[in-house]
Amino acid sequence: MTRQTANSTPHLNPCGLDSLSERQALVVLEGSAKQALETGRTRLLVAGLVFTLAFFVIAVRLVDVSLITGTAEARLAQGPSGPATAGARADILDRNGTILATTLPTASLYANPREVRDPRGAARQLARVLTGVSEAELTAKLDSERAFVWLQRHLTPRQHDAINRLGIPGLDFKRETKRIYPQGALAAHVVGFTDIDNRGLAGIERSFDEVLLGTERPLQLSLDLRVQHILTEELLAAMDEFRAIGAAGLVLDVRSGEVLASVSLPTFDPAQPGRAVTEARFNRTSLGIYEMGSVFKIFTTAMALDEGVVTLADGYDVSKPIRVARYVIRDFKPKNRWLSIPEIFIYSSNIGTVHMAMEAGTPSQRAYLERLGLTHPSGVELPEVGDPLLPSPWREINTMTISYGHGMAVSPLQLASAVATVVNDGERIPATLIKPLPGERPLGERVFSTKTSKAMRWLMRLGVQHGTGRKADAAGFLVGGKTGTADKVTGRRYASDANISSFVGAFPMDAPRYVIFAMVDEPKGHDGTFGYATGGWVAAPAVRRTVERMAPLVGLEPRSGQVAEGLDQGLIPASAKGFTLAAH
Amino acid sequence: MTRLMATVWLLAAGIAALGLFSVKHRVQGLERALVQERQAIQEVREGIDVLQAEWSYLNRPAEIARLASKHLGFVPLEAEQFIGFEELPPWRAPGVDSSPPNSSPQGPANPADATPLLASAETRQ
Repeated sequence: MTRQTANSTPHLNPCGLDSLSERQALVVLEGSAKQALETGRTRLLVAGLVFTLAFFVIAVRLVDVSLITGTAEARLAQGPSGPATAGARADILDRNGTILATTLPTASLYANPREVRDPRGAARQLARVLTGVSEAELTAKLDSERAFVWLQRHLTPRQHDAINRLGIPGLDFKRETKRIYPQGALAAHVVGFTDIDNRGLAGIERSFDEVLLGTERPLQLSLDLRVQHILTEELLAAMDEFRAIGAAGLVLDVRSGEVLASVSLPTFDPAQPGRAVTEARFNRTSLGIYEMGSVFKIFTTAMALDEGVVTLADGYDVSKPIRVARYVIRDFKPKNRWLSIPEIFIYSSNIGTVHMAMEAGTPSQRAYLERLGLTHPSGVELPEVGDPLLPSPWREINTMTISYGHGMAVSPLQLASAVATVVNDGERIPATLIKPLPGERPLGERVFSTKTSKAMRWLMRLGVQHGTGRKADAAGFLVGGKTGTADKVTGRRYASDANISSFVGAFPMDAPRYVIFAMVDEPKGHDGTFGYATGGWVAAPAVRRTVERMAPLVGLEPRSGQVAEGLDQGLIPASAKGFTLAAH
Repeated sequence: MTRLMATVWLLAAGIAALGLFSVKHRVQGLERALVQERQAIQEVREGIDVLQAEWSYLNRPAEIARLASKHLGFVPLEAEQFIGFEELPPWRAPGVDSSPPNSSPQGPANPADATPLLASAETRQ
C-alpha cells in the first residue's frame, strides 16, 4: 500500500516534508535509493503510531486502575471487616456486651428427589439428624417425582455438619439468615422481635429498625442482663407465692436515666412470638398504665414541701374521714389522731395526703405532675408506650384522689422515672434504654429544690425503716421507698378483691444510685401474710431480695450496721432534728 | 543502524509483552487466591458469629445460676460478708503471735478475736 502510494506520487513526500521542499535545500534522491528511504520513513511512522497508540492505551488503563477502579479495590480490601452476612442486621447488646439479638447465616436443607438414588436409606439417615420429622415423612418427600422439596429450614450448625458428612447425593443447602435471640425470653419485651424477613415488629427491633439495617455497629442497650435476671426471678417468685396474674419491675440509674432492668411478666419467647398469648406480649412496664395507689404520695408530699404549703414539722388531724360529694376518703389503717407530715407519709395516710394536696391546690398539682413527666407519654425508645389516663375535667375531687394515686393512670416507667427525679436532687433526667456514650451526660431539668429532695429521701428512708415498706429493708443498702396498693378498675368500678400491689424505692438513700420498682398484678394473700396482699407484703420483699442480690454486682458496697446508722442520722434534715415517731 | 534499532525495539516490545503476560497471569492467580482467602475469612467470621451467639446462649444468667448451684454450691453474697479494711483484725508480727494469746495480759478478752489468719497460716506451714 505504502509503496504503491509512493510510486504513484513520486514527487510527494509521505512525511509531509514536501511542503518545506521549496524553501529548504533538501537532498532529493532518485530511483531505488529514494524508494528505500521512503519505505523506511513510512515504516517508522507506522511503528511510531502503533507505539503511541499502545502507550496511550496503557496510560488510559493506568489511570483507570489507579484512580477509578482503584477506589473499588481499596473498598474490597477492607471487606473482611465488613458484613459477615449479606443484608445483615446489626446485633443488639446489653450494657456489658452480652448479645441479646444477632443475625446468623443458616442453611436450609432441600432435595432434588429425582437425583436421590436410595430414598429409603437417605430418609433413615436423615431422620437421625433432623428434628421434628419422621422417617416416613422423609421417605415420602424423597420418593416424590418433583424436582425441589424443602426438607428443613434453618438447620443448626451441628445438623448442617452432620448432613454434610452423610454425603447423600441430591441434597443441597440454601443459605438464609435468621434473627437469633440467645437470651430467650429474658429481655423479650425490650428487645422485641422481627418477622421472617428480618424486619422489626416490636420493641427496640422496631423502633431502631432502620438503624439496625443500615449499620454494622451493634446497638448497645442500657439493660444489665444480670440485674434483669435477678429482678425477673424475684418477681416470678412473688407471682408464684401470691398466685398473681402478672408482674412488672424496673431498675433505673438515677443519675443517667438508664433502664438497667425492665421486666414484664408473663413473658414470651421472641423466637416464636406468634405462639405467645397477647397478654404475654404486652409490655406492662411501658405500655401498661395503672392507677398506682399510695406510691403517688411521694409526689404529693414532695409537691407540698416544695411549694412551702407545709413543713416537716406540720401535721393534720386524720381522725375524721373526708366526705366530698358522694365519696368518703378513709385510711386503710386509721390512726385516729394528729399526725405529723413524716408520719402521714410513712403510715400512708390518705386523709393527711389529701389535706396536703388541697392546700397546694389543683393547678399546682397539675403543674408538678406535668413537670415530672406523668401527664404525657414517656419518651423512652420503644414503640409500645402507653398514654397516661388523666381526669378530664380536673376537678377538686380528682385532685384529692390523685394525691393518693387513684383517678390517674400512668405506666410503671413514668412512675419510676418520676421517683428518680424526686431523689436525684429534684432534677429530672429522661429514662432511656440506650447506653450513653462515655462522657455523654443527659440534660437535667429542675423540678424540685435540693432541699425538698433531701427531705423526701429522709421520708422515703423512714417509710422503709418504720413504715409500710419495712420488708424492703435490705441490710446495709439504705433502701428507701413507698408501698402502694391500688384497687383495680374492672369495668366502671373498683374491684374490691383485685389489687395492684407495688413498691417503689431508691437506694442507697444517702446518695441514691438506683430506683427500683416492683408491681404484682392481682396477688392473693395467704396464711403467711395473714391474708394480706398489699404492697408491703407482696412487692417490698421482692425488692429487698433484688437489692441484696444486685447491689454487689453493680459495685455498691453495703454499709455495716454502725456506718449505716450514722448515715441514717445524716439523712435527717436540719428542720426535723430531734424528730421522734409517736408510739404506734 | 535502523535495522538494529528496529530489532532492539522489537525485542523490547517482545520482552514487555512477555513481562506483561506473566504479571497478568500472576495477578489472576493472586486474585483467585484472594477470593479464596476472602471466602475463608467470611467463613471464619460466620463461625465466630455463631460461636458468639452460642457463648451468649450458654451464658444465660439462669443457666449460670443453675450450674453454680450444682457444681460450686455458691449462693448470692450477703451484706455481712463485706467488711472494710478498718474492720479487719489487726496484723501482728509472727514473733508476737507465738506466745499463747490468753496468757498475755493485754490480750483480747475474746480468744476468738486473736486466733485467726496468722495462726492458721502458720499451722499450714
